[in-house]
Amino acid sequence: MPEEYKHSSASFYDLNLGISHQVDDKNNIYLNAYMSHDGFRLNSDTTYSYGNKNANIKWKHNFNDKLFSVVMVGYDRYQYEVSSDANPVNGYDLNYNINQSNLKVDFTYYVNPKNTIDFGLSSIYYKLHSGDLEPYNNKSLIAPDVVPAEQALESALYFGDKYDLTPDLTVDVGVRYSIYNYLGPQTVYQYAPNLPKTSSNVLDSTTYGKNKVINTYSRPEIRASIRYNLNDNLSLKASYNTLTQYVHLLSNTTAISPTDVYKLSDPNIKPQNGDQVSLGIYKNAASNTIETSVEVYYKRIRDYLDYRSGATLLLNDHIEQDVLNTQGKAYGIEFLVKKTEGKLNGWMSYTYSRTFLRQDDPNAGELINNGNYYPANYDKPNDFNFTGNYRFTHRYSISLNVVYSTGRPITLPIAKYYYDGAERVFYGDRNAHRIPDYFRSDFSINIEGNHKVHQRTHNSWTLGIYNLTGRANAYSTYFTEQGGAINGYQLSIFAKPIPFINYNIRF
Amino acid sequence: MKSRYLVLAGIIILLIANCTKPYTPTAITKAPNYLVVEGVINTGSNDSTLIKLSRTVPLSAGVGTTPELNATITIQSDNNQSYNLHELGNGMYVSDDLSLANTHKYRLSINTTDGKNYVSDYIAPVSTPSIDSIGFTIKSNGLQLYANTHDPNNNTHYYRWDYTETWQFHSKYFSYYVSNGTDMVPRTPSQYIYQCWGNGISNDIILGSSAKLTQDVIYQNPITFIESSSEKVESRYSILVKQYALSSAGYNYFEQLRQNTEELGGIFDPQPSQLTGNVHCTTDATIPAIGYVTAGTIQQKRVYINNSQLPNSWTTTYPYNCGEDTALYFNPKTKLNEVLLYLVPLPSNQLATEPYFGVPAGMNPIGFLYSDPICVDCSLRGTLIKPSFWTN
Repeated sequence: MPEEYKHSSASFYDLNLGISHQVDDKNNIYLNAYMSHDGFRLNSDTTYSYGNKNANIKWKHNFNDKLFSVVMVGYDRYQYEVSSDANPVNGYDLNYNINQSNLKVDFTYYVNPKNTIDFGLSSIYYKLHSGDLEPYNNKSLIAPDVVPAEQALESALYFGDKYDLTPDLTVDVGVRYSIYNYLGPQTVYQYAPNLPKTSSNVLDSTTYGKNKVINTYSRPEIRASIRYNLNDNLSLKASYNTLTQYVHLLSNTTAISPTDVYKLSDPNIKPQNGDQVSLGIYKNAASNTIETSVEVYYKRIRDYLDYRSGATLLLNDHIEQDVLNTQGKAYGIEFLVKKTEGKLNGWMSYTYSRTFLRQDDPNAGELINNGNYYPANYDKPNDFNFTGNYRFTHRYSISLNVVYSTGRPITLPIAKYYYDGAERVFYGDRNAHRIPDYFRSDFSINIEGNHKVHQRTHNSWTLGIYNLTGRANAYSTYFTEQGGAINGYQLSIFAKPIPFINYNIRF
Repeated sequence: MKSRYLVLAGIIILLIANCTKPYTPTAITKAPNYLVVEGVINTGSNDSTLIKLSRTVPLSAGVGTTPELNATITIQSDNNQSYNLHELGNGMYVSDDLSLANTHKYRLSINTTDGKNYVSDYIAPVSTPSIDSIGFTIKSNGLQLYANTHDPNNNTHYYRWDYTETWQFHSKYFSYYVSNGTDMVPRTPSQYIYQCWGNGISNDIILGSSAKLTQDVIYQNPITFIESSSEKVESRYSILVKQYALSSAGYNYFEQLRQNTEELGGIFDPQPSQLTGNVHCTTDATIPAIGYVTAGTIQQKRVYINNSQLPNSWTTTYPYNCGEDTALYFNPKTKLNEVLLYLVPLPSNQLATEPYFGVPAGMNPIGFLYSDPICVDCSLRGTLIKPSFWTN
């Protein structure tokens, strides 16, 4: 085996299960379950894995021709794990997971052929384990460190109405009212007003018992859209909607294994909200087998979280001390061409989009980039995707997949210096530089099993090459200090063309 | 009754080719050498201002700093007075003893030899309340030094401290004899190398704030921690603590600087920190300058701590492994004069401690005990001269 493969491995699997069952002509039950797991080991040093699990059961009940309801109970879990045994004494295993239990009741009422009303309620219970550090094995001297779990309940009522004013003009409006409760058990700090939330400004701390409501946010949300058909093949759509998000995402992108940290809104961290306007033009051609569209949008973002200078994101019991509220704006234009049928089919899209954030609150204790707008972590202006399939026969087809995007922004250490008796690192402006652009193309051949009608399973094989050009895309870039010198490294995971075989079973 | 089932499974297992290669974006390879300015414009009466200039170095450099030499520094006031600093060497610049009025704003203007001019913002001086006391508490594994202060006018709120520490210490062995190049002779008291004074400076940023309190009081703000086994408290220890009042902007700068360490790259390491100082290049606004110049009076207090004030159970660990060997005038086995071979030649690789009289002890020395210089000569790690301020 070549040296570079020796200490590396990767495995991916996913499983999908779907069952639909008609109880009688008024009642249907659907069961869906999905599970996936991705894991890779980075050069015998750090193992990184993540997985998704979700399951839900839906019951659809038709009251009569005009009214039906869907009741859904579901559970979602996302978890990741980072472990390292590079140094036996420091070997660690870090676990992180976010769990959501959902209940949704939706009603749809066809008032008349022109008017459809939707209404319902939903409730989500969040349980977040924001970091659980354990020793890797009994040689490790790592002290276990567990960030207390967070819980919250988000409940909402909604009402929407879709109305065809004329055969060519449809309006769709809706309101949603959400109530969010941050729940115990938890210990929450109170900070002195109008001062930065730092450890030196903690006034007091309060401990709440299990399921005690610590604080509540409630927000009305609205949406409105209008669609107009200029002719059979050309339509316009304009929409406006507001957004509220109670779960925040923070990303550490300066480490060898980039990690995400989720945080629930709490008394010290407000929910993120914003609004968006968009306009789209849709044109179909060749008897609707070719779809083209152009969409533009502009979005305002309030109270988006970004990290403070020098923040520690992982295993931080009081992350409000290490984050800042930023205000943002995002805009973009997306071009899409899709061919849905024929021997040659596929789609191609190009998006130009930008997201900028700004931190200009003088009470926060620090300004990011002097209070000017800066690109968000996920700002990737150019994004191009191509997926094409060509079917030779019913059994054989080939696919080509091409992805290109601008490299994400990064804050670079640029130089070092001495100040106040110790060596320090000088960083450039927040997100002022970018990692190299991402480009990848994959090629595959799909071979379907035979098409006999009475077999129990349908099988198919996919043979292909991932990353045809072998481009070493940056999975992460990071800097480490060794013997006084600080050196930068770029880690690529699929740096060569990778042949693969995929076997699909359908029951 | 109808039921439909769908199960989809996909598995991919692959070998992956990891590849780690150097990442050197042009922003780093250009190796900027930005000016770094440290110091306080001292508005105390009849007191001088000390400013330190250095340059950033490339990340890949082994050394941490390069001093900025031959610059000219001027303190400028908002009523057009200016005061020049003169160079002390090694990047240090000092003013004459001035009595700058606390009622004016001041800034630094710096001209570097590359033809660039840098200025700080105009800074309103803040007067620093006096240090009420420097004390210590005994912990199980050492002593925690702290500072107490308060501002009766409730007007300061933000404080920074730094310190110089000095301690009396002793080498492991007393050396009674010294080589004069041809023979071993008894040391005169002026040649003793047993008792020295070591010194150090703070290399942590020490901050305190009373902003959330109803009164401007700082109670037992940690200054430094000394391990119980440390040589610093072997006999007598002294610390000179300087206290600087800060504006809230200045406090925030130092708070961020404190988090700006060299730790980076690991998943548990801090995120990049960015510092917005108050020094700017006027010649080319695109060139960053590093540092936050503050202005105000400086308060200081010196205290002494004697070993007798500390728990009896504490024992000092000598920082080096030391042992003694014997050098004989005549080694009966090898027929060699080991004293002449090992101890007499200068400069000495080994230092004699005391004469050796043999076993059983004879009337005259038959050689010397000796040890490594680091175990015998305290001046390798400190100064033999008692500091001028030192009181016993």
